[in-house]
Amino acid sequence: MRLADLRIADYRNLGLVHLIPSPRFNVLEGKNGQGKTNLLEAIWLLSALKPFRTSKNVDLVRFGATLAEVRAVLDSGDGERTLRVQVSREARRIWVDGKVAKTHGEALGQVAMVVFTPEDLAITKGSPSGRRRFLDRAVFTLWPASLDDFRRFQHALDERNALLKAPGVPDDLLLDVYDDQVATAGALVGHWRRRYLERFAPVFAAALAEITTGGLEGTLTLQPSIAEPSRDALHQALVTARPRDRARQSTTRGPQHDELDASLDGRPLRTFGSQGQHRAFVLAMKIAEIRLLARELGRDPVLLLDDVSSELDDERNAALMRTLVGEGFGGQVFLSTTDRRHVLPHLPLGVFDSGQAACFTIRDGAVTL
Amino acid sequence: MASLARLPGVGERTATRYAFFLLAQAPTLAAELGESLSGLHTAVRHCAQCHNLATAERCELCLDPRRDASRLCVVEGLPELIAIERTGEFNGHYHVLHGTLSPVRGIGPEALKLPSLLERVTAQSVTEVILATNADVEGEATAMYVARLLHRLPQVAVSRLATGVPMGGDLEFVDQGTLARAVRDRRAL
Ligand SMILES: Nc1ncnc2c1ncn2[C@@H]1O[C@H](COP(=O)(O)OP(=O)(O)OP(=O)(O)O)[C@@H](O)[C@H]1O
Ligand SMILES: [Mg+2]
Ligand SMILES: [Zn+2]
Repeated sequence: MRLADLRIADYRNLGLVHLIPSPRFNVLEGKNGQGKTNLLEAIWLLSALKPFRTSKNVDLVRFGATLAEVRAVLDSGDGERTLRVQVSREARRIWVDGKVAKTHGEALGQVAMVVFTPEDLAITKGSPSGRRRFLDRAVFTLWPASLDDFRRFQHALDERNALLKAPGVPDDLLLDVYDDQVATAGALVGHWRRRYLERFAPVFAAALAEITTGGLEGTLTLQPSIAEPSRDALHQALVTARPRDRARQSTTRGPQHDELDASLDGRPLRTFGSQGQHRAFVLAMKIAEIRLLARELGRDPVLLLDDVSSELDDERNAALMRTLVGEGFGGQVFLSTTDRRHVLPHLPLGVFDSGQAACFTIRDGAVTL
Repeated sequence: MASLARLPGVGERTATRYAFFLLAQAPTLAAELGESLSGLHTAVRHCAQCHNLATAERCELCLDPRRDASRLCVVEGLPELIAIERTGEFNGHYHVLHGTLSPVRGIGPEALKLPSLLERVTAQSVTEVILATNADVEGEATAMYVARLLHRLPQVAVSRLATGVPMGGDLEFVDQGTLARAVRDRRAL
Protein backbone atom coordinates (compact mmCIF):
# COMPACT_ATOMS: atom_id res chain seq x y z
CA MET A 1 0.00 0.00 0.00
CA ARG A 2 1.46 3.34 -1.04
CA LEU A 3 0.38 6.88 -1.71
CA ALA A 4 0.63 7.43 -5.45
CA ASP A 5 -0.61 10.99 -5.39
CA LEU A 6 -1.09 13.46 -2.56
CA ARG A 7 -2.92 16.78 -2.51
CA ILE A 8 -3.27 19.03 0.50
CA ALA A 9 -5.14 22.30 0.85
CA ASP A 10 -5.06 24.68 3.81
CA TYR A 11 -3.91 22.16 6.40
CA ARG A 12 -2.13 24.09 9.19
CA ASN A 13 0.49 26.28 7.48
CA LEU A 14 0.35 24.33 4.20
CA GLY A 15 -1.28 26.14 1.29
CA LEU A 16 -1.83 24.11 -1.86
CA VAL A 17 0.45 21.10 -2.02
CA HIS A 18 0.60 18.49 -4.75
CA LEU A 19 3.12 15.66 -4.53
CA ILE A 20 3.79 12.55 -6.55
CA PRO A 21 5.64 10.62 -3.86
CA SER A 22 8.24 8.03 -4.68
CA PRO A 23 7.06 4.49 -3.93
CA ARG A 24 9.93 4.04 -1.46
CA PHE A 25 11.83 6.92 0.14
CA ASN A 26 10.58 10.46 0.42
CA VAL A 27 12.85 12.92 2.13
CA LEU A 28 11.14 16.12 3.29
CA GLU A 29 13.71 18.77 4.00
CA GLY A 30 13.02 22.12 5.59
CA LYS A 31 14.21 24.49 8.26
CA ASN A 32 12.45 24.74 11.63
CA GLY A 33 8.86 25.91 11.51
CA GLN A 34 8.41 25.49 7.74
CA GLY A 35 5.76 22.76 7.79
CA LYS A 36 7.52 19.38 7.83
CA THR A 37 5.57 18.00 10.76
CA ASN A 38 2.40 19.50 9.32
CA LEU A 39 2.93 17.62 6.08
CA LEU A 40 3.45 14.30 7.86
CA GLU A 41 0.42 15.04 9.98
CA ALA A 42 -1.70 15.68 6.88
CA ILE A 43 -0.70 12.23 5.59
CA TRP A 44 -1.43 10.68 9.00
CA LEU A 45 -4.93 12.15 8.89
CA LEU A 46 -5.75 9.62 6.15
CA SER A 47 -5.24 6.79 8.60
CA ALA A 48 -6.42 8.34 11.83
CA LEU A 49 -8.75 11.22 11.02
CA LYS A 50 -7.04 13.03 13.87
CA PRO A 51 -3.59 14.57 14.12
CA PHE A 52 -0.82 12.92 16.13
CA ARG A 53 -0.37 16.14 18.05
CA THR A 54 -3.69 16.67 19.82
CA SER A 55 -5.45 19.77 18.60
CA LYS A 56 -8.84 21.26 18.11
CA ASN A 57 -10.32 21.22 14.63
CA VAL A 58 -9.97 24.98 14.26
CA ASP A 59 -6.22 24.77 14.78
CA LEU A 60 -5.89 22.35 11.88
CA VAL A 61 -7.35 24.73 9.33
CA ARG A 62 -4.98 27.31 7.90
CA PHE A 63 -5.48 30.74 9.42
CA GLY A 64 -8.05 32.59 7.31
CA ALA A 65 -9.37 29.46 5.56
CA THR A 66 -12.55 27.55 6.45
CA LEU A 67 -11.74 24.03 5.26
CA ALA A 68 -8.64 21.88 5.29
CA GLU A 69 -8.49 18.97 2.90
CA VAL A 70 -6.19 16.04 2.20
CA ARG A 71 -6.67 13.76 -0.80
CA ALA A 72 -4.64 10.77 -1.75
CA VAL A 73 -4.65 8.09 -4.38
CA LEU A 74 -3.75 4.80 -2.71
CA ASP A 75 -2.10 2.10 -4.73
CA SER A 76 -2.51 -1.33 -3.21
CA GLY A 77 -0.77 -3.18 -6.01
CA ASP A 78 -4.02 -4.59 -7.36
CA GLY A 79 -6.01 -1.41 -7.74
CA GLU A 80 -6.35 2.21 -6.75
CA ARG A 81 -8.61 3.92 -4.27
CA THR A 82 -9.01 7.53 -3.41
CA LEU A 83 -9.24 8.81 0.13
CA ARG A 84 -10.34 12.29 1.01
CA VAL A 85 -10.41 13.85 4.45
CA GLN A 86 -11.92 17.20 5.22
CA VAL A 87 -11.58 19.19 8.41
CA SER A 88 -13.75 22.16 9.25
CA ARG A 89 -14.35 23.90 12.52
CA GLU A 90 -17.35 21.64 13.17
CA ALA A 91 -16.41 18.28 11.78
CA ARG A 92 -13.94 15.87 10.24
CA ARG A 93 -15.22 13.79 7.37
CA ILE A 94 -13.81 11.07 5.21
CA TRP A 95 -14.64 9.78 1.73
CA VAL A 96 -13.52 6.55 0.11
CA ASP A 97 -13.69 6.53 -3.68
CA GLY A 98 -15.92 9.59 -3.58
CA LYS A 99 -18.46 8.10 -1.16
CA VAL A 100 -18.89 9.36 2.39
CA ALA A 101 -17.62 6.64 4.70
CA LYS A 102 -20.40 5.16 6.83
CA THR A 103 -18.11 4.02 9.61
CA HIS A 104 -14.71 5.48 10.34
CA GLY A 105 -13.25 2.05 11.05
CA GLU A 106 -13.95 0.94 7.50
CA ALA A 107 -12.48 4.06 5.90
CA LEU A 108 -9.44 4.41 8.10
CA GLY A 109 -8.58 0.76 7.67
CA GLN A 110 -7.68 1.46 4.03
CA VAL A 111 -4.08 2.30 4.77
CA ALA A 112 -1.86 1.04 7.57
CA MET A 113 0.49 3.76 8.83
CA VAL A 114 3.08 3.99 11.54
CA VAL A 115 4.39 7.34 12.73
CA PHE A 116 7.53 7.94 14.75
CA THR A 117 8.12 11.39 16.23
CA PRO A 118 10.60 12.72 18.76
CA GLU A 119 7.76 12.81 21.32
CA ASP A 120 7.46 9.02 21.03
CA LEU A 121 10.88 8.70 22.64
CA ALA A 122 9.15 9.55 25.92
CA ILE A 123 6.72 6.59 25.74
CA THR A 124 8.61 4.37 28.15
CA LYS A 125 9.44 7.18 30.60
CA GLY A 126 6.13 8.98 30.55
CA SER A 127 2.71 8.25 31.99
CA PRO A 128 0.87 4.92 31.59
CA SER A 129 -1.64 6.63 29.32
CA GLY A 130 1.04 7.21 26.68
CA ARG A 131 1.85 3.49 26.64
CA ARG A 132 -1.83 2.58 26.41
CA ARG A 133 -2.18 5.00 23.52
CA PHE A 134 0.74 3.32 21.72
CA LEU A 135 -0.79 -0.10 22.27
CA ASP A 136 -4.33 0.86 21.28
CA ARG A 137 -3.17 2.62 18.15
CA ALA A 138 -1.09 -0.42 17.18
CA VAL A 139 -4.12 -2.67 17.74
CA PHE A 140 -6.24 -0.42 15.55
CA THR A 141 -3.68 -0.26 12.74
CA LEU A 142 -3.50 -4.04 12.59
CA TRP A 143 -7.24 -4.64 13.18
CA PRO A 144 -9.32 -1.60 12.17
CA ALA A 145 -12.47 -3.48 13.18
CA SER A 146 -11.41 -2.99 16.81
CA LEU A 147 -12.15 0.73 16.60
CA ASP A 148 -15.82 0.31 17.33
CA ASP A 149 -15.15 -1.66 20.52
CA PHE A 150 -12.63 0.88 21.79
CA ARG A 151 -15.01 3.74 21.06
CA ARG A 152 -17.93 2.02 22.75
CA PHE A 153 -15.80 1.31 25.78
CA GLN A 154 -14.64 4.93 26.03
CA HIS A 155 -18.16 6.22 25.56
CA ALA A 156 -19.66 3.87 28.17
CA LEU A 157 -16.87 4.75 30.59
CA ASP A 158 -17.43 8.47 30.03
CA GLU A 159 -21.13 7.98 30.78
CA ARG A 160 -20.41 6.05 33.97
CA ASN A 161 -17.93 8.68 35.15
CA ALA A 162 -20.34 11.50 34.35
CA LEU A 163 -23.02 9.73 36.36
CA LEU A 164 -20.65 9.33 39.33
CA LYS A 165 -19.78 13.03 39.13
CA ALA A 166 -23.33 14.29 38.79
CA PRO A 167 -24.71 16.09 41.85
CA GLY A 168 -26.93 14.05 44.14
CA VAL A 169 -26.96 10.32 44.72
CA PRO A 170 -26.50 8.42 41.46
CA ASP A 171 -29.46 6.35 40.33
CA ASP A 172 -28.50 2.75 41.20
CA LEU A 173 -30.52 1.31 38.35
CA LEU A 174 -28.67 3.56 35.92
CA LEU A 175 -25.30 2.63 37.41
CA ASP A 176 -26.26 -1.03 36.85
CA VAL A 177 -26.75 -0.22 33.19
CA TYR A 178 -23.35 1.44 32.81
CA ASP A 179 -21.60 -1.32 34.80
CA ASP A 180 -23.05 -3.69 32.27
CA GLN A 181 -21.95 -1.61 29.28
CA VAL A 182 -18.46 -0.85 30.61
CA ALA A 183 -17.96 -4.53 31.42
CA THR A 184 -19.10 -5.75 28.00
CA ALA A 185 -17.03 -3.27 26.00
CA GLY A 186 -14.12 -3.33 28.45
CA ALA A 187 -13.73 -7.09 28.14
CA LEU A 188 -13.44 -6.68 24.38
CA VAL A 189 -10.77 -4.00 24.81
CA GLY A 190 -8.87 -6.36 27.10
CA HIS A 191 -9.07 -9.13 24.51
CA TRP A 192 -7.78 -6.93 21.70
CA ARG A 193 -4.83 -5.77 23.79
CA ARG A 194 -3.87 -9.28 24.87
CA ARG A 195 -4.26 -10.68 21.41
CA TYR A 196 -1.93 -8.01 20.05
CA LEU A 197 0.72 -8.36 22.73
CA GLU A 198 0.90 -12.13 22.25
CA ARG A 199 2.00 -11.54 18.68
CA PHE A 200 4.05 -8.45 19.45
CA ALA A 201 6.20 -9.76 22.31
CA PRO A 202 8.52 -12.10 20.38
CA VAL A 203 8.93 -9.67 17.48
CA PHE A 204 9.81 -6.93 19.94
CA ALA A 205 12.33 -9.04 21.85
CA ALA A 206 14.08 -9.90 18.60
CA ALA A 207 14.17 -6.27 17.47
CA LEU A 208 15.64 -5.09 20.75
CA ALA A 209 18.31 -7.77 20.74
CA GLU A 210 19.16 -6.76 17.19
CA ILE A 211 19.45 -3.02 17.91
CA THR A 212 21.60 -3.56 20.95
CA THR A 213 23.48 -6.33 19.13
CA GLY A 214 22.25 -8.99 21.51
CA GLY A 215 23.12 -7.04 24.60
CA LEU A 216 19.65 -6.45 26.01
CA GLU A 217 16.76 -8.65 26.88
CA GLY A 218 13.58 -6.64 27.14
CA THR A 219 9.94 -7.39 27.64
CA LEU A 220 6.70 -5.46 27.40
CA THR A 221 3.93 -7.04 29.42
CA LEU A 222 0.40 -6.07 30.21
CA GLN A 223 -0.23 -5.40 33.88
CA PRO A 224 -4.01 -5.47 33.72
CA SER A 225 -6.22 -3.66 36.19
CA ILE A 226 -8.30 -6.85 36.37
CA ALA A 227 -6.41 -10.10 36.04
CA GLU A 228 -9.01 -12.06 34.15
CA PRO A 229 -10.14 -10.46 30.90
CA SER A 230 -13.72 -11.73 31.04
CA ARG A 231 -16.90 -9.71 31.04
CA ASP A 232 -18.03 -11.29 34.27
CA ALA A 233 -14.77 -10.61 36.11
CA LEU A 234 -14.85 -6.99 35.02
CA HIS A 235 -18.49 -6.66 35.95
CA GLN A 236 -17.83 -8.13 39.39
CA ALA A 237 -14.94 -5.70 39.91
CA LEU A 238 -17.13 -2.73 38.98
CA VAL A 239 -19.90 -3.80 41.32
CA THR A 240 -17.44 -4.35 44.17
CA ALA A 241 -15.74 -1.00 43.57
CA ARG A 242 -18.99 0.93 43.46
CA PRO A 243 -18.82 2.49 46.96
CA ARG A 244 -15.25 3.61 46.35
CA ASP A 245 -16.09 4.82 42.82
CA ARG A 246 -18.92 6.86 44.30
CA ALA A 247 -16.58 8.48 46.80
CA ARG A 248 -13.93 9.23 44.17
CA GLN A 249 -16.53 10.11 41.55
CA SER A 250 -14.75 8.05 38.95
CA THR A 251 -14.30 4.46 37.78
CA THR A 252 -11.33 2.98 39.59
CA ARG A 253 -11.16 -0.47 37.99
CA GLY A 254 -11.00 -1.51 34.35
CA PRO A 255 -8.87 -1.46 31.21
CA GLN A 256 -8.49 2.32 31.45
CA HIS A 257 -6.02 1.53 34.24
CA ASP A 258 -4.10 -1.23 32.47
CA GLU A 259 -0.34 -0.74 32.57
CA LEU A 260 2.15 -1.77 29.93
CA ASP A 261 5.25 -2.69 31.90
CA ALA A 262 8.61 -2.33 30.26
CA SER A 263 11.47 -4.20 31.77
CA LEU A 264 15.05 -4.75 30.82
CA ASP A 265 16.94 -7.82 31.91
CA GLY A 266 14.19 -8.40 34.45
CA ARG A 267 14.27 -4.92 36.00
CA PRO A 268 11.71 -2.14 35.49
CA LEU A 269 12.98 0.15 32.76
CA ARG A 270 11.31 3.17 34.32
CA THR A 271 13.43 2.98 37.45
CA PHE A 272 16.65 1.57 36.11
CA GLY A 273 16.84 2.44 32.42
CA SER A 274 19.50 4.78 31.10
CA GLN A 275 18.67 7.43 28.51
CA GLY A 276 20.14 5.32 25.74
CA GLN A 277 18.30 2.21 26.89
CA HIS A 278 14.97 4.03 26.83
CA ARG A 279 15.64 5.11 23.27
CA ALA A 280 16.67 1.65 22.17
CA PHE A 281 13.50 0.30 23.77
CA VAL A 282 11.18 2.72 21.99
CA LEU A 283 12.97 2.20 18.71
CA ALA A 284 12.51 -1.55 19.10
CA MET A 285 8.80 -1.01 19.84
CA LYS A 286 8.38 0.92 16.60
CA ILE A 287 10.38 -1.53 14.54
CA ALA A 288 8.40 -4.42 16.01
CA GLU A 289 5.12 -2.67 15.24
CA ILE A 290 6.20 -2.23 11.62
CA ARG A 291 7.39 -5.83 11.23
CA LEU A 292 4.30 -7.26 12.82
CA LEU A 293 2.07 -5.27 10.46
CA ALA A 294 4.06 -6.40 7.46
CA ARG A 295 3.86 -10.01 8.60
CA GLU A 296 0.19 -10.09 9.54
CA LEU A 297 -1.17 -7.93 6.73
CA GLY A 298 1.12 -9.31 4.09
CA ARG A 299 2.01 -5.79 2.97
CA ASP A 300 4.27 -3.10 4.36
CA PRO A 301 2.78 -0.14 6.20
CA VAL A 302 3.46 3.47 5.22
CA LEU A 303 6.01 4.98 7.59
CA LEU A 304 6.19 8.57 8.73
CA LEU A 305 9.38 9.55 10.51
CA ASP A 306 9.41 13.06 11.89
CA ASP A 307 12.97 14.26 12.24
CA VAL A 308 13.92 11.33 14.44
CA SER A 309 17.48 11.24 13.16
CA SER A 310 18.15 14.40 15.14
CA GLU A 311 17.04 12.70 18.34
CA LEU A 312 18.77 9.36 17.98
CA ASP A 313 22.50 8.84 18.31
CA ASP A 314 24.40 7.69 15.22
CA GLU A 315 24.29 4.04 16.11
CA ARG A 316 20.52 3.91 16.76
CA ASN A 317 19.85 6.02 13.73
CA ALA A 318 21.86 3.61 11.61
CA ALA A 319 19.91 0.70 13.13
CA LEU A 320 16.62 2.35 12.21
CA MET A 321 17.75 3.09 8.68
CA ARG A 322 19.02 -0.46 8.21
CA THR A 323 15.52 -1.71 9.06
CA LEU A 324 13.93 0.55 6.46
CA VAL A 325 16.44 -0.08 3.74
CA GLY A 326 17.01 -3.78 4.37
CA GLU A 327 15.54 -6.82 2.68
CA GLY A 328 12.69 -7.21 5.16
CA PHE A 329 10.97 -3.93 4.39
CA GLY A 330 9.80 -2.55 1.07
CA GLY A 331 7.21 -0.02 2.17
CA GLN A 332 6.84 3.66 1.48
CA VAL A 333 8.65 5.98 3.85
CA PHE A 334 8.30 9.72 4.45
CA LEU A 335 11.14 11.18 6.49
CA SER A 336 11.44 14.77 7.52
CA THR A 337 14.77 16.36 8.31
CA THR A 338 16.28 19.79 8.66
CA ASP A 339 19.23 18.65 6.60
CA ARG A 340 19.17 15.95 3.96
CA ARG A 341 22.78 15.11 4.69
CA HIS A 342 21.58 13.37 7.88
CA VAL A 343 19.50 10.99 5.80
CA LEU A 344 20.94 10.50 2.34
CA PRO A 345 24.08 8.62 3.38
CA HIS A 346 21.88 5.89 4.84
CA LEU A 347 19.92 5.26 1.63
CA PRO A 348 21.15 2.60 -0.77
CA LEU A 349 23.23 3.82 -3.68
CA GLY A 350 21.39 4.67 -6.85
CA VAL A 351 17.90 4.97 -5.35
CA PHE A 352 17.37 8.40 -6.85
CA ASP A 353 18.33 7.24 -10.32
CA SER A 354 15.97 4.27 -10.15
CA GLY A 355 13.04 6.43 -9.02
CA GLN A 356 13.04 4.77 -5.61
CA ALA A 357 13.62 8.04 -3.77
CA ALA A 358 12.53 11.65 -4.01
CA CYS A 359 13.61 14.72 -2.12
CA PHE A 360 11.18 17.54 -1.42
CA THR A 361 11.89 20.95 0.06
CA ILE A 362 9.42 22.64 2.37
CA ARG A 363 9.47 26.38 2.86
CA ASP A 364 6.81 28.42 4.52
CA GLY A 365 4.08 25.88 3.85
CA ALA A 366 4.99 25.32 0.18
CA VAL A 367 6.55 22.14 -1.14
CA THR A 368 8.87 21.90 -4.12
CA LEU A 369 10.71 18.99 -5.66
CA MET B 1 -31.70 32.59 3.87
CA ALA B 2 -29.91 32.34 7.20
CA SER B 3 -33.00 30.83 8.82
CA LEU B 4 -33.46 28.32 6.00
CA ALA B 5 -29.85 27.22 6.40
CA ARG B 6 -30.62 26.32 10.01
CA LEU B 7 -32.90 23.49 8.91
CA PRO B 8 -31.35 20.02 9.10
CA GLY B 9 -29.76 18.92 5.83
CA VAL B 10 -29.93 22.41 4.36
CA GLY B 11 -26.60 24.08 3.77
CA GLU B 12 -25.94 27.63 2.67
CA ARG B 13 -26.07 26.68 -1.00
CA THR B 14 -29.41 24.91 -0.72
CA ALA B 15 -30.79 27.77 1.37
CA THR B 16 -29.82 30.20 -1.37
CA ARG B 17 -31.47 27.98 -3.98
CA TYR B 18 -34.70 27.84 -1.96
CA ALA B 19 -34.70 31.58 -1.44
CA PHE B 20 -34.21 32.30 -5.15
CA PHE B 21 -36.87 29.75 -6.03
CA LEU B 22 -39.39 31.43 -3.74
CA LEU B 23 -38.51 34.84 -5.13
CA ALA B 24 -39.13 33.59 -8.67
CA GLN B 25 -42.62 32.29 -7.77
CA ALA B 26 -45.78 34.29 -7.18
CA PRO B 27 -45.65 36.02 -3.77
CA THR B 28 -48.68 33.93 -2.64
CA LEU B 29 -46.47 30.84 -2.27
CA ALA B 30 -44.13 32.54 0.19
CA ALA B 31 -47.11 33.95 2.07
CA GLU B 32 -48.81 30.54 2.24
CA LEU B 33 -45.62 28.93 3.45
CA GLY B 34 -45.16 31.62 6.08
CA GLU B 35 -48.71 31.16 7.32
CA SER B 36 -48.44 27.42 7.71
CA LEU B 37 -45.06 27.76 9.40
CA SER B 38 -46.26 30.31 11.94
CA GLY B 39 -49.27 28.13 12.74
CA LEU B 40 -47.08 25.07 13.20
CA HIS B 41 -46.54 25.34 16.91
CA THR B 42 -50.18 25.96 17.76
CA ALA B 43 -51.68 23.46 15.34
CA VAL B 44 -49.27 20.60 15.95
CA ARG B 45 -48.60 19.23 19.40
CA HIS B 46 -47.52 16.03 21.07
CA CYS B 47 -50.00 13.19 21.47
CA ALA B 48 -51.06 12.98 25.12
CA GLN B 49 -50.65 9.21 25.08
CA CYS B 50 -47.59 8.32 22.98
CA HIS B 51 -45.93 11.76 22.43
CA ASN B 52 -45.97 11.37 18.65
CA LEU B 53 -46.88 14.49 16.69
CA ALA B 54 -50.62 15.09 16.70
CA THR B 55 -53.12 17.65 15.53
CA ALA B 56 -55.55 16.70 18.29
CA GLU B 57 -55.34 15.36 21.85
CA ARG B 58 -54.37 11.93 20.46
CA CYS B 59 -52.34 11.15 17.36
CA GLU B 60 -53.66 9.31 14.32
CA LEU B 61 -51.83 6.12 15.26
CA CYS B 62 -53.31 6.02 18.75
CA LEU B 63 -56.79 6.71 17.38
CA ASP B 64 -56.61 4.02 14.69
CA PRO B 65 -58.87 1.17 15.93
CA ARG B 66 -57.16 -1.37 13.65
CA ARG B 67 -53.91 -1.06 15.57
CA ASP B 68 -53.07 -3.48 18.36
CA ALA B 69 -52.90 -1.56 21.64
CA SER B 70 -51.44 -4.48 23.55
CA ARG B 71 -48.06 -4.02 21.88
CA LEU B 72 -45.87 -0.96 22.38
CA CYS B 73 -42.82 0.04 20.41
CA VAL B 74 -40.55 2.42 22.33
CA VAL B 75 -38.50 4.80 20.17
CA GLU B 76 -36.04 7.61 20.84
CA GLY B 77 -37.69 10.17 18.62
CA LEU B 78 -39.93 10.90 15.67
CA PRO B 79 -37.45 9.98 12.90
CA GLU B 80 -37.18 6.47 14.37
CA LEU B 81 -40.96 6.17 14.64
CA ILE B 82 -41.30 7.16 11.00
CA ALA B 83 -38.56 4.71 9.97
CA ILE B 84 -40.27 1.79 11.69
CA GLU B 85 -43.72 2.80 10.45
CA ARG B 86 -42.35 2.75 6.89
CA THR B 87 -41.34 -0.91 7.20
CA GLY B 88 -45.00 -1.88 7.70
CA GLU B 89 -43.84 -4.63 10.08
CA PHE B 90 -45.37 -3.19 13.20
CA ASN B 91 -49.05 -2.72 13.84
CA GLY B 92 -49.08 -1.81 17.53
CA HIS B 93 -48.82 1.50 19.32
CA TYR B 94 -45.74 3.61 19.89
CA HIS B 95 -44.16 5.43 22.77
CA VAL B 96 -41.77 8.26 21.93
CA LEU B 97 -39.20 8.95 24.66
CA HIS B 98 -37.97 12.19 23.11
CA GLY B 99 -34.34 11.52 23.91
CA THR B 100 -31.80 9.03 25.18
CA LEU B 101 -30.05 8.72 28.51
CA SER B 102 -26.65 10.34 28.71
CA PRO B 103 -25.12 11.63 31.95
CA VAL B 104 -22.34 13.09 29.77
CA ARG B 105 -24.90 15.37 28.16
CA GLY B 106 -26.69 15.85 31.46
CA ILE B 107 -29.74 13.83 30.37
CA GLY B 108 -31.14 11.63 33.09
CA PRO B 109 -34.28 9.49 33.28
CA GLU B 110 -36.34 12.49 34.41
CA ALA B 111 -35.77 14.16 31.03
CA LEU B 112 -37.44 11.32 29.11
CA LYS B 113 -41.12 10.40 28.76
CA LEU B 114 -40.73 7.49 31.15
CA PRO B 115 -43.47 7.98 33.80
CA SER B 116 -46.15 7.97 31.12
CA LEU B 117 -44.67 4.77 29.66
CA LEU B 118 -44.85 2.97 33.00
CA GLU B 119 -48.35 4.29 33.52
CA ARG B 120 -49.46 3.03 30.13
CA VAL B 121 -47.99 -0.39 30.69
CA THR B 122 -49.57 -0.66 34.16
CA ALA B 123 -52.97 0.82 33.40
CA GLN B 124 -53.62 -0.57 29.92
CA SER B 125 -53.43 -4.18 28.94
CA VAL B 126 -50.00 -4.03 27.33
CA THR B 127 -48.46 -7.47 26.97
CA GLU B 128 -45.38 -6.73 24.91
CA VAL B 129 -42.92 -3.83 24.79
CA ILE B 130 -40.37 -3.62 21.98
CA LEU B 131 -37.41 -1.39 22.71
CA ALA B 132 -36.46 0.09 19.36
CA THR B 133 -33.74 2.49 20.39
CA ASN B 134 -30.55 2.83 18.35
CA ALA B 135 -27.69 0.35 18.73
CA ASP B 136 -25.16 2.95 19.92
CA VAL B 137 -24.08 3.36 23.56
CA GLU B 138 -26.85 5.81 24.42
CA GLY B 139 -29.56 3.81 22.71
CA GLU B 140 -28.43 0.56 24.34
CA ALA B 141 -28.19 2.19 27.77
CA THR B 142 -31.67 3.62 27.37
CA ALA B 143 -33.08 0.25 26.31
CA MET B 144 -31.41 -1.52 29.22
CA TYR B 145 -32.66 1.06 31.68
CA VAL B 146 -36.24 0.89 30.42
CA ALA B 147 -36.04 -2.93 30.41
CA ARG B 148 -35.01 -2.91 34.06
CA LEU B 149 -37.89 -0.59 34.94
CA LEU B 150 -40.36 -2.80 33.08
CA HIS B 151 -39.09 -6.00 34.66
CA ARG B 152 -40.46 -4.70 37.94
CA LEU B 153 -43.93 -4.89 36.43
CA PRO B 154 -45.63 -8.25 36.07
CA GLN B 155 -46.67 -9.99 32.86
CA VAL B 156 -45.12 -7.84 30.20
CA ALA B 157 -42.68 -9.29 27.67
CA VAL B 158 -39.81 -6.99 26.81
CA SER B 159 -37.83 -7.39 23.62
CA ARG B 160 -35.06 -5.57 21.83
CA LEU B 161 -34.60 -5.10 18.09
CA ALA B 162 -32.56 -7.89 16.57
CA THR B 163 -29.09 -7.10 15.39
CA GLY B 164 -28.70 -6.57 11.74
CA VAL B 165 -28.94 -2.96 12.64
CA PRO B 166 -25.22 -2.18 12.44
CA MET B 167 -23.54 -1.58 15.78
CA GLY B 168 -23.45 2.14 16.40
CA GLY B 169 -25.88 2.53 13.53
CA ASP B 170 -28.59 5.12 13.28
CA LEU B 171 -32.03 3.61 12.76
CA GLU B 172 -33.03 6.59 10.71
CA PHE B 173 -30.47 5.69 8.02
CA VAL B 174 -30.69 1.91 8.06
CA ASP B 175 -32.13 0.49 4.85
CA GLN B 176 -35.72 -0.67 5.10
CA GLY B 177 -35.08 -4.36 4.53
CA THR B 178 -32.59 -4.52 7.37
CA LEU B 179 -34.84 -2.59 9.67
CA ALA B 180 -37.85 -4.74 8.80
CA ARG B 181 -35.85 -7.88 9.61
CA ALA B 182 -34.66 -6.33 12.86
CA VAL B 183 -38.20 -5.63 13.95
CA ARG B 184 -39.30 -9.17 13.04
CA ASP B 185 -36.36 -10.89 14.74
CA ARG B 186 -36.41 -8.81 17.91
CA ARG B 187 -34.93 -10.55 20.93
CA ALA B 188 -36.13 -10.78 24.50
CA LEU B 189 -34.35 -8.68 27.12
N1 LIG C 1 -3.70 26.62 11.50
C1 LIG C 1 -2.52 27.15 11.11
N2 LIG C 1 -2.49 28.09 10.14
C2 LIG C 1 -1.30 28.62 9.74
N3 LIG C 1 -0.10 28.27 10.23
C3 LIG C 1 -0.08 27.32 11.19
C4 LIG C 1 -1.27 26.70 11.67
N4 LIG C 1 -0.95 25.81 12.61
C5 LIG C 1 0.40 25.84 12.71
N5 LIG C 1 0.93 26.75 11.87
C6 LIG C 1 2.33 27.10 11.67
O1 LIG C 1 3.04 25.98 11.18
C7 LIG C 1 4.38 26.14 11.57
C8 LIG C 1 4.92 24.86 12.15
O2 LIG C 1 4.98 23.90 11.21
P1 LIG C 1 5.64 22.51 11.59
O3 LIG C 1 5.35 22.14 12.98
O4 LIG C 1 5.24 21.59 10.53
O5 LIG C 1 7.18 22.89 11.50
P2 LIG C 1 8.39 21.96 11.22
O6 LIG C 1 8.85 22.20 9.82
O7 LIG C 1 8.07 20.59 11.60
O8 LIG C 1 9.45 22.60 12.20
P3 LIG C 1 10.48 21.91 13.24
O9 LIG C 1 11.66 21.54 12.44
O10 LIG C 1 10.77 23.01 14.18
O11 LIG C 1 9.78 20.76 13.87
C9 LIG C 1 4.45 27.17 12.64
O12 LIG C 1 5.08 28.29 12.13
C10 LIG C 1 3.01 27.41 12.98
O13 LIG C 1 2.79 28.74 13.34
MG1 LIG D 1 8.51 19.42 13.29
ZN1 LIG E 1 -50.31 8.79 20.04
